[in-house]
Amino acid sequence: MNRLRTKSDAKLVKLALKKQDAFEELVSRYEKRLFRYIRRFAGLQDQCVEDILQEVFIKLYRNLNSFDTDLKFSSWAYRITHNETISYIRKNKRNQNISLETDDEDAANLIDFLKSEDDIPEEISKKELQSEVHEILNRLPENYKEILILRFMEDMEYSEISDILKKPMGTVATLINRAKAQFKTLALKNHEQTQ
Amino acid sequence: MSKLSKNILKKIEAENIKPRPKWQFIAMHVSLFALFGLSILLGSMVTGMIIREIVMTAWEFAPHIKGVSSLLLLVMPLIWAASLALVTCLAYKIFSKTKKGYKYKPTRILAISIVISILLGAGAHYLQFSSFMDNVMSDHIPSYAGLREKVEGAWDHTDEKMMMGEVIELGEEGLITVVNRQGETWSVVLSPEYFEDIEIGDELMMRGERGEDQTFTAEKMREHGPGPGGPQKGERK
Repeated sequence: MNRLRTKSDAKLVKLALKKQDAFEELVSRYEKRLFRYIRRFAGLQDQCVEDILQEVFIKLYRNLNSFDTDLKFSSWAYRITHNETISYIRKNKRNQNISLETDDEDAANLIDFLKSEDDIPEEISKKELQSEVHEILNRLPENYKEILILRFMEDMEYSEISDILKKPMGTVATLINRAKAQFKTLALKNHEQTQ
Repeated sequence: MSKLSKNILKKIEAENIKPRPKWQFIAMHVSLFALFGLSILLGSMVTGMIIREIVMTAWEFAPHIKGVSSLLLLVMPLIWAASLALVTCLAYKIFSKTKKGYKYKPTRILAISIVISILLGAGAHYLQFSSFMDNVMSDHIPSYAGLREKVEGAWDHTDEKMMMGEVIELGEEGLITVVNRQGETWSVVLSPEYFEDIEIGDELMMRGERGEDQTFTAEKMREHGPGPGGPQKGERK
């Protein structure tokens, strides 16, 4: 198992076709990240998240031979996770817990990026925004929410987001800008309402 | 190992889940590209038909069709244009499903598909494949044949400055005898430049002036049917 820890993801994928412990290593590498991503994106309870994650890894295992080595394994894993989450949400609309789960660190990342653009007035404190991030993200359309989460909470590059969402890079850039703009608008509206 | 990892590996073992063989993915990939190629080919055939409609329709005589009947001339080009739009969208959808297809902007894929279709369609028309297609469709698709007839019927409603008919006699000094669609016999005076190419049996469209005693002086003439690039004189449906 120690030997496997030093191997790259792409190498592990190749080995996983012959040895199950290589796939085990991939699961342990990505389990927490993908779990957190599903929770951030879908706002589901832990059991539901685990169910989705199980399906994700089964799907990854079944499709190991389709892995494109030009792609990062993480992008491929996130892509399957994203699609499975969307399917789950659509099938189980009633069971969805609306409240989006983020921790303070996640919110801080998003706010730091937005504040660095100098568009959000100084009088809106970081603390105020942190508590509002949940609510604001939930009010955004799904495509804006998902892209902000991938960019600011999962720290994905534009090329990675392009591979995950299967959209051209230009479209990704446009979506991020629009999502940021709408996030700021909602944040400012929230601030005006609470005053 | 976490509980989740254990459950995943347990399920893989219990249900004997195995990675799908590589050839399945290769076959899927090849099929996608084959479908994409087919949709481009279809687009080319449709473009060929659009070119044929534009070339063979006597647009210069269309102002002489009375009332709304002239709009019938637009029916076939519009139907083919709509078909091209559909096929091009299909080509885009298929291409975007390929491994790297999503990296390209939709406008680029659509533009390239249309350009390829136009180039191949022009070739198809030049090689008379679109005329062949039109004949086959008219012979085997009754609704298509019916639509063709309706469009053709627009030429039954022309004004007095236009004459359409079949040449039944070639006289001297630019004089021909024509029977029009209403079965009337007319003497037509043609300028020498047109007269040389006419044969008995040709169906002509002419613009000019009607005179007395069933005479017509033609200023402009064209043979009714395929235009440049279409079947040559003497070839008939």
